[in-house]
Amino acid sequence: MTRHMLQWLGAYQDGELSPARCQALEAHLAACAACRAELEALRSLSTLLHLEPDPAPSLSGARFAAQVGLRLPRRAAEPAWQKALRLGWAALPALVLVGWAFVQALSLVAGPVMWALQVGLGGTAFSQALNAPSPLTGLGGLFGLPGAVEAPQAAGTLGWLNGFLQLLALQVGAMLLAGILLGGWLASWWASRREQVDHNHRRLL
Amino acid sequence: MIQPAGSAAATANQEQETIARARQGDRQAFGMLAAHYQAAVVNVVYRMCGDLALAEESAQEAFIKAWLHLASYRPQFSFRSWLYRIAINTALDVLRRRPTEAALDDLALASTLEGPEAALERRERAQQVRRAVLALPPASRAVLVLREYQGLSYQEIAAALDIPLGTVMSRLNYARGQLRTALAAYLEEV
Ligand SMILES: [Zn+2]
Repeated sequence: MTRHMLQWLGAYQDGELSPARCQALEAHLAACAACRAELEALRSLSTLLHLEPDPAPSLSGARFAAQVGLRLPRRAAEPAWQKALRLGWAALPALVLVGWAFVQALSLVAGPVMWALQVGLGGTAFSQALNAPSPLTGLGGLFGLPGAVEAPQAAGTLGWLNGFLQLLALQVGAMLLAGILLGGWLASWWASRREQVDHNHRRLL
Repeated sequence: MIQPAGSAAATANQEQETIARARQGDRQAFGMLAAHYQAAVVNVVYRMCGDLALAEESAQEAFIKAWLHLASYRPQFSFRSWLYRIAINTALDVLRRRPTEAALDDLALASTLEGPEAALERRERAQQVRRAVLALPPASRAVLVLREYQGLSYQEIAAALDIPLGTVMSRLNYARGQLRTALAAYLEEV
């Protein structure tokens, strides 16, 4: 004879066993008086638990609902910033895509324009504006390049290099940011999906 | 046992509509849900704490909590499980505030045609049962209440209490084992 199946008796009584396990248990029950007695005891326990019937509430459903209604606080509406955050998060992939397109377009246009300005096609006013200390030259300084202000002759090449590095940094930064955002978004989407799938496909015991 | 709403697909759809309206702030729709689930929620809390007056008061509290958190209910899950989760938590709060000093003399026993002695004995037995249930650890008691008195499936219990299916089964086995020991004398007679 196989081992007793005591731990499955409760689930059997509750109708929660998978068909295969149910069949195995019934076969065992047919042959095992001890497990049959145990099942009988579980049934008696259930009867005993229902000796006291469910209580009848003192209020009718309608009266109860009316009383609850009187006590219902005004439900706080979702704060605007929270709603914006939620909607923004939902639309994140689209936002990243738009941002990406913007950065691409910017670098596509900015490269030639900057070069053109450096070689003087834009007129002296523009060239001077570019050669003046500006946020754009900052990056060159960061990389230890001689500043455009100190060496006006080399301004053309160095300025162009500066611009190039600036664009490169922008590209890499944008790519990293997009990667992190999309990664986070995908992770949270996946987690919520998993939860739902888990819920829908919980195995039978 | 209280029949859940939505045993038929049509009523389930209707209920989802009512819930959706309540979520949008429709108090009347929420009132319909409260009226429908009142008895079930009162019963859950009563079986958890053993005091009917307290259970009725706490049931109102549970519905107020449900109203406040309706936005967190997700329609793909069972509303009943969601509501019972709130009911159980409310009952546990109540028990924490007021440790179970169950008024064991107001048993809601149906009037019977049996003689006074038999009635007394029946009362006595029901009291012992209630005492044994209340002596269970709250976590096991919650599983037992949802199964025995509300007829929830294991999966619904798992969702309501946010525990794995295996835990539902082990807690239920534990609770029944404890009760069998505590009520051994009465089990012979049933
Ligand atoms: Zn056996």
